[in-house]
Amino acid sequence: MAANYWTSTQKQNWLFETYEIADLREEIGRQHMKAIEQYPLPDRRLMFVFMKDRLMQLGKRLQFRQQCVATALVYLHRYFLFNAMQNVNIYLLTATAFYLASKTEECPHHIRLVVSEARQLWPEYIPNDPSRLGEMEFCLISEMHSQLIVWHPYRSLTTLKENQKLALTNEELSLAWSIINDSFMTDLPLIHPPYLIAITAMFLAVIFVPSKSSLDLKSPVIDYQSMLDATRMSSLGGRVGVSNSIASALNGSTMLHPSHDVSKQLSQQQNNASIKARTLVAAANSEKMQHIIEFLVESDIDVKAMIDATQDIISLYEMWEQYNEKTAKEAVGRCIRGQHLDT
Amino acid sequence: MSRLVAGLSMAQQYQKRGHVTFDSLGNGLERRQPGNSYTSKTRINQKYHIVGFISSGTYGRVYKAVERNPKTDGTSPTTGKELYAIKKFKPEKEGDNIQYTGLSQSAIREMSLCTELTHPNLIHLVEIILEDKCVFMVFEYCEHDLLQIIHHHTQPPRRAIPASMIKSILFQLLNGLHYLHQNWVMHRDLKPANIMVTSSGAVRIGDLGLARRFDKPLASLYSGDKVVVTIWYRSPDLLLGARHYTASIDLWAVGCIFAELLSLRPIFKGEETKMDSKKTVPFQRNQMSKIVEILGMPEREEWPGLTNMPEFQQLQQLIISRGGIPPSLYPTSQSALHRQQNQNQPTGLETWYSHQLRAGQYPAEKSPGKLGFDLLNKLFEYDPDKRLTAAQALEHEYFRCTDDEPHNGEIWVPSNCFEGLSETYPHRRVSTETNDIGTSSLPGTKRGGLPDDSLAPAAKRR
Ligand SMILES: Nc1ncnc2c1ncn2[C@@H]1O[C@H](COP(=O)(O)OP(=O)(O)OP(=O)(O)O)[C@@H](O)[C@H]1O
Ligand SMILES: [Mg+2]
Repeated sequence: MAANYWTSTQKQNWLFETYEIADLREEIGRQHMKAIEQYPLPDRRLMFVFMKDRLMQLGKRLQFRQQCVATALVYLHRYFLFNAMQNVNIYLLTATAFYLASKTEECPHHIRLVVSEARQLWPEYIPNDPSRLGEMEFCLISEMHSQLIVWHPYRSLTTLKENQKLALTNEELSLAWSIINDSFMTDLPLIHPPYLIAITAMFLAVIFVPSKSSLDLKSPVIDYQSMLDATRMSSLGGRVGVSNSIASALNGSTMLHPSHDVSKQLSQQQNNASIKARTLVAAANSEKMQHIIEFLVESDIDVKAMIDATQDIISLYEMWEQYNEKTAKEAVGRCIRGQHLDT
Repeated sequence: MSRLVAGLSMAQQYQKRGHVTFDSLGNGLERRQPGNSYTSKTRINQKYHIVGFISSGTYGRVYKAVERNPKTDGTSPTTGKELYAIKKFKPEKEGDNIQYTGLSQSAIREMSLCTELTHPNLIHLVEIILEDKCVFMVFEYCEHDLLQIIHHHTQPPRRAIPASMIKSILFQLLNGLHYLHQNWVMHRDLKPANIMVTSSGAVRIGDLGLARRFDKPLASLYSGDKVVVTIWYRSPDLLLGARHYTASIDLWAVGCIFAELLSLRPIFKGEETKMDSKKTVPFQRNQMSKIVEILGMPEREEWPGLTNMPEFQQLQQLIISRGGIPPSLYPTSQSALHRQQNQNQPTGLETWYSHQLRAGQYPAEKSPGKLGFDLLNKLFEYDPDKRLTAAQALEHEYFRCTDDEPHNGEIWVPSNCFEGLSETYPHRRVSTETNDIGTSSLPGTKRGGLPDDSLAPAAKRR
């Protein structure tokens, strides 16, 4: 990875402990109790699915790179650390995040164009005045303290791809890629460094590939540039059975399932690399998995964090099965109208 | 890893994050009313007192300021008030009233990069205030810049800049540039006016408005901004239409600055061909010919990519019009022969260089000397792939210390470029007529920089 993730504002200021995030949300909950009770919205993760789909809608009309959408999603995550979803016009905010990310990711669009495309998509929610989006841009930037550069796991995945020992197949890589895409629906980008998310995604993909055929997933060819430029954001989300399959694949691999003895042992043995290595290698049931585990040990990855991240991904897929766009749309619409955020 | 401090609310705690102080931005939880209108908690005029107006650039205006109520933390007894330079990006005017028009790509670049990067040879950002539809970037104040310093030496009695000072400036400049490149950032607009010098002789690269990251695979860099780097500092590969240019363009600019420090005038002072009405990017014929006049014609034996450059045809026409023979018409063997014949004669650059040393009356023991020439020559390498990198340049023998202990024999250069010199440089000119920093102030008059063209529709290429 480029030298500067380690000194980045992302690493210094935008990675949180889960309890810190919980505290921030509790405070928002207290401050905006009334609005939150009056206008209930779907689960946060499903709200992010909703916003991701809005970003993709915009992206279809405007030339964009997938990385733009990823960056916009991180902006939204950061924004909602300090603001209640009930207090903002989510359509306008999403368009703003897209607009801002298009600039930081160097594929800029003119504000007028973004507003007019957004208006065509969501006429009842986007004011016909570009300065409203411009003002929202100020809100967003100031909430992020002008720290706009975001590091993503995609790059780390490319590094993993180049690692000969891991010998990742195209199928595994494109699955990992999709899992990374999906991780933006969760709090993972606020909690873990990009390489940890990439490694977790790779790990899940490798475990999952054998059982994946039953789910009939397409596997596009993995090519960094074409994935980044892709006009869609491949995903495993929303399919019935994904979370179950992953969970059982995990159980089958006798590794990393949080309830499993091995993982418990591991978390206790964080400091003893050689014991860790032996336990892990013993747990692996294939040569491939052995290579991967050796790699994990060598790179001194935080196994506990990886287990947590794995868990977050699985429960995302569980939750995602319940996603209903119509319900989300209606809830958001009610809130925007009720709170007079559309004027 | 926890950053929580007992007794502070998360919101307060949050404000303590980051190396840039953000207390002015206030608490996001209370600030906003539903409906998303933006109000800044601290006003720039409350926190800073504007002393005067410095400059009006392409994107806004720069002011000199002092803090109204500087925090005295007791640890450092502050003598006198700290000075700041505040760069104000103003929104475009739409009709009579000022509106939010979306921040320019240039403002976004400068804001995002300056918050991310910290280095002693890079301009230091203090904070960013968003207020009244404007962005205010508060920087440490730098008393000088290279343009001023060069200008000062041209004033009668005209005298050369001391060799030790040039060496220190160059080393610091390369050091800052190396840091940028290490962090995958190209500056793309290095020129004397954008290189600041503090009163204690530290060099700070400024104006990151054209800088951009090149760490990830990007759509062709050419597609975004068609034109980068002020024409006199533009590298031949850019002039010949390179689309996938690299960080080496910054090293060419460093070469130009080195030369300008020696001779007190731009070495390749071409005339810019303006973009025509069809918005095609013109070939900068005059600029290219200024380079050729001193460095000679680029040849494909030395620069294998030359014949693939988009403007190669234009270059050949340039040669014909100058009465020369285009290199591609030369059979290879003859071309090599041609070079061999010239081997014992000094190249154009060597002639230029020794002329400058004589004109500058550099004493033999305090001269940029042969090593200086070698460095310059390697910065002016036509082939961008062979041009020195910032890291290589920093290791050049030119920077090896020949003074007495303690640094004798090391690559070492004083970090104060004024060290041991008696010359005093005039303070930055500040006008006090227009020190109203409010949004109502006059629109900036363009100083001739490049417009931020990244949002313009892609220009047609020939
Ligand atoms: N930190 C500083 N301290 C003192 N003066 C400064 C500082 N930063 C900028 N200036 C002055 O303001 C001028 C313009 O600043 P800068 O280059 O950042 O803005 P710009 O809008 O990009 O201008 P231009 O279009 O002329 O390049 C500089 O050339 C310099 O004279
Ligand atoms: Mg400038």
